This record gives sequence, structure tokens and C-alpha cells, in this order.
Amino acid sequence: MVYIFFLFLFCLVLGLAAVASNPSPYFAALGLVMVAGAGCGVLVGHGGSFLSLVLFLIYLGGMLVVFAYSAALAAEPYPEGLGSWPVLGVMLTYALGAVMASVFFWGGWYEGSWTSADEFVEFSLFRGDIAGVALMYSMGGGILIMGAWVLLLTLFVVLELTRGLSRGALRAV
Amino acid sequence: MNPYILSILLFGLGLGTMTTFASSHWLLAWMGLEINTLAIIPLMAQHHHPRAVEAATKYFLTQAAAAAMLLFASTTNAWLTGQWDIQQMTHPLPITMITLALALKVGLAPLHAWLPEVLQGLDLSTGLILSTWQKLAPFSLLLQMQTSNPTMLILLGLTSTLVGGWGGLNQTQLRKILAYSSIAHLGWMILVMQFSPSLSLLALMTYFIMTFSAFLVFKLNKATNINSLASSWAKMPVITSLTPLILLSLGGLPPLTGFLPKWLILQELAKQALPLTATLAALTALLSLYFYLRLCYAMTLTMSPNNLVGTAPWRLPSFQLTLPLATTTTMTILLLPLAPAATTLMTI
Repeated sequence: MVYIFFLFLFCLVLGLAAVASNPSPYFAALGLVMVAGAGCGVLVGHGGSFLSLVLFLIYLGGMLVVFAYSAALAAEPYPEGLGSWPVLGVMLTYALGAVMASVFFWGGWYEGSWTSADEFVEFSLFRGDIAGVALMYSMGGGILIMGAWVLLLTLFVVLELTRGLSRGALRAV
Repeated sequence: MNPYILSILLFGLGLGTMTTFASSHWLLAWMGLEINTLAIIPLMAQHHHPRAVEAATKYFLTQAAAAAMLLFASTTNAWLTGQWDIQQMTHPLPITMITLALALKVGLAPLHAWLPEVLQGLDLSTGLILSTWQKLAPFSLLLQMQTSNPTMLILLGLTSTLVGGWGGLNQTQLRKILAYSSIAHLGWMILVMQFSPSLSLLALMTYFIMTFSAFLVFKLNKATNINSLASSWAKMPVITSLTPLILLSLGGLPPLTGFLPKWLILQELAKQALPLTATLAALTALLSLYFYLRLCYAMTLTMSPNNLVGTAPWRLPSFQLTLPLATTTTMTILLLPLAPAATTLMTI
């Protein structure tokens, strides 16, 4: 279990380095997918299965998909991913920087080891966030309704900003 | 703009401020601030010309950065102290971060650089909403914050009054002058906030009334720079004769209303054994007074050369409501004798 956590966090840092290394938006979105997936894995292991599912659905399945479509609109003739040397060089520099930071800040042997505190991991029915989720839907119901209203407001805001053909600074779509 | 959309956006503005007012949890307060930011963006960009869209973009970026810092600081506070209550903050690190985030939201120096440019790209009505209503929600949070760093608040205040006075000196565009005026007044408010929050609220309310009058006068004149003000004496003589009083009230001159908050703030600072701070604040207010006086000079105290046709234009009835202007002008000029009532009304 600890080894899976280590893998997830390793993928997280690598994905972050891939996003920060300034590739084209398509490949940055791929890096974001890896980061979100790894982060969700760590969340699940700590008992936040509901939050992890919601994150996957909304972040990856909603926002990232919309971002991918918008990025596809702004078509780049020569997209640069990890295959081109400028991007790969920056990414390796960031990864090296992360390694050096961890070497610098790592404590003794006791700081580098994890002990699993939850032994019933695969057999427990109630995860850590169940009580919080129930509370959010029961006592926090009003805030959820207001959240839904704010999402509708955001829709109107975006539609109002992009209204009309080629007015303002947005392209004629 | 489509009236349904306009009403939804204005409702969103009201909802956001009310949510922040009613919140004791940091997440809810952040939510109200974000609703406010979202709802005003289309209002800023409603004329769709590039300058307005630029102003909307700059506003969105700065406010989003401030809200992100606020969220980060509240999460840090939750980690360090285990609770999310606004009024129970004890750790100095989140308190400092939140104060700086709210200073960026409201436009205090040294986090003020966005305000003149954003205000310049807006029309006068939206600029008025930005200068008055949008300051209410962050201000309510600032009032509830515990003070962990008295020096920082005094530095924010003095820097703001200095930058507000100094920066406004070279401006000819009225909206930028009003932006620097806003920075200076906010500086006075935050100067006294840790000593007497009710005085801070009094300063905010008087600032609202004074700046409301100023914005409306400029809107009636359809003037956006000082030169356009020079022909207002022929079009609306009574407003032209009263505007110097409004501007000098903004500058804080007795016996006008604007003197009230400055007087009480200087008294409070002297009581708190900060005579140097009080002196510096009063001296920096002189800088602002200079450019208000320049506006009075251009508008009322001198009659600029004009051709004969321009000296007696038709005085047609304006389609703009003038009752709000009449009310707020009266309050801007005559509220000083009601000082005891005004101070007792602001109970925090």
C-alpha cells in the first residue's frame, strides 16, 4: 500500500513537471490528467473516495474536456510535446530540481519511511469522508442550492461575455 | 444589455455581498467574494470595446489571485488551528496572508496598481459600482479580522494615503483621479481599523456618499477628463457651483462632511500615542487636496475661453435621475454638525 502511494506521488511530481515545462496545451492537458489521477489515488488511500470520484468526474470529465475542446479551437500547426528538446529539457530540469529539493530537505531515516495506520483498507465499508458528505447534503443543503445558482450565474456571465460575432476581443465564433 | 441578464447580474452582486456579510465560515465568505467578482465582469465588458475588455480581464486576474490567496490562507488556518471561524483566528501567518489578500481585493497600496487602469476602462456607472459596492464585502471581512501585526496595518494605511495623493497629482483623466482618491480614502480607513472599527466604518460610509456625488456629477456632465469639465458652467450652473464643495469634502476640508472621519481618525491616533502617524497621514492628505482643488479650479473657479455659442446652450431636461445626486450632495456638504449621531450609528 505504501509502495502504491509512493508511485502515485512520483507520478504526481512528474506530471507537474510535464505541465510546467511549457508544452503545447494538448500535452499540458495530458500532464494534468496524470496529476489529477495520481492525486485522486492518494485521496482514495486516505479515505476520501467520494471526493476522489467527484474530482475525476468534474475536473477531468468536465473542465478538462471543455479545455481540450477550447484548445482544439486554437489549432497550433506545430504542437510541441515532450518529443521536442526545449520542452524535454525544461521538464528534466524541473524533475532534477524536485529531486535536489527532496535530497536537501529529507530528514533522517525515520522521515523517509511510512507506516500504514489503517489495516482494514480493502475491507472497510465506511471511508473517512462519509460523515462529511452526509453533513454536506443535509445541513449544508442550502449552500449547495446557492452553489447551483452560482453555476447558472457563471453560465450567464460566460454567455454574456462571448455574445455576438467578433465584438470585443473574442474571435468570431 | 438584455434587461433579464442585467437583473440577474445585479442580483448576483447583491447575493455575493450579502453572503459575505452573513458568513462566519471562511469558505462561505470566499464564495460571496467570488460571486461578486463573477457578476461584475460582464457589467465591465458590456460595451465590448477593447479597453473595457482589458479592464475586465485585469480585474478578473487580480481578484482571482486575491481570492485564491484568501482560500489558501483559510485552509492554512484550518490546518494550523483546526477551525474555520472568521472571528476566532489566532495564528499570525494566516491573519497576515488574509489581510494582504483583502488589501489586494480592495486596492490598498502597495497592492493598488490595478485600480486606476481598471477604473479608466469602465464607464462611470460601472466605475461607481466598483468603487462603492465591491468594497463592502472585503471591508466587512477586514473589520472582523484579529490584528496580529499592528505595524503592517499602519504601513498599509500610510502607503495608501501617500500613493493615493502622490499618484493622483499628474492625472487629467477623471476616473483615474477618482481611483487614486479611493486608494487614499481606503488608506485612512485601514489606518484606524485596529483601534476603532466603528470609525473605519464611518469613514467608509462618508466616502461612499462623497464619491457617489462625484461620480454622478461627472456622469451628468458626460465628462471623463478635466478639459470636459471646463464647459459645465454653461450647461448646469447650479451643479457647477456646488461641485467644489463636493470635491473639497472629498479632500477633507472643514466644515464639510469629509472632515468628520479625518478629524476623528486623527483624534483616535493621537489617543493611541501615535502622533507621528497622525502627522504623516494629515500631511499626505494635503497631496490629495491639491488635485481636488485643481478640479475645482478648472470647473468652477475659472471660466475657460469659449466661443459665444458655447456660453449659452439650450438647457434641456436631462434623462438622468438627479434625485440621488441631490440627496448625496446635501449629505456630502452638510453632515458635519450631525457628527455625534453619525458616530453612534456606526456600532461595531
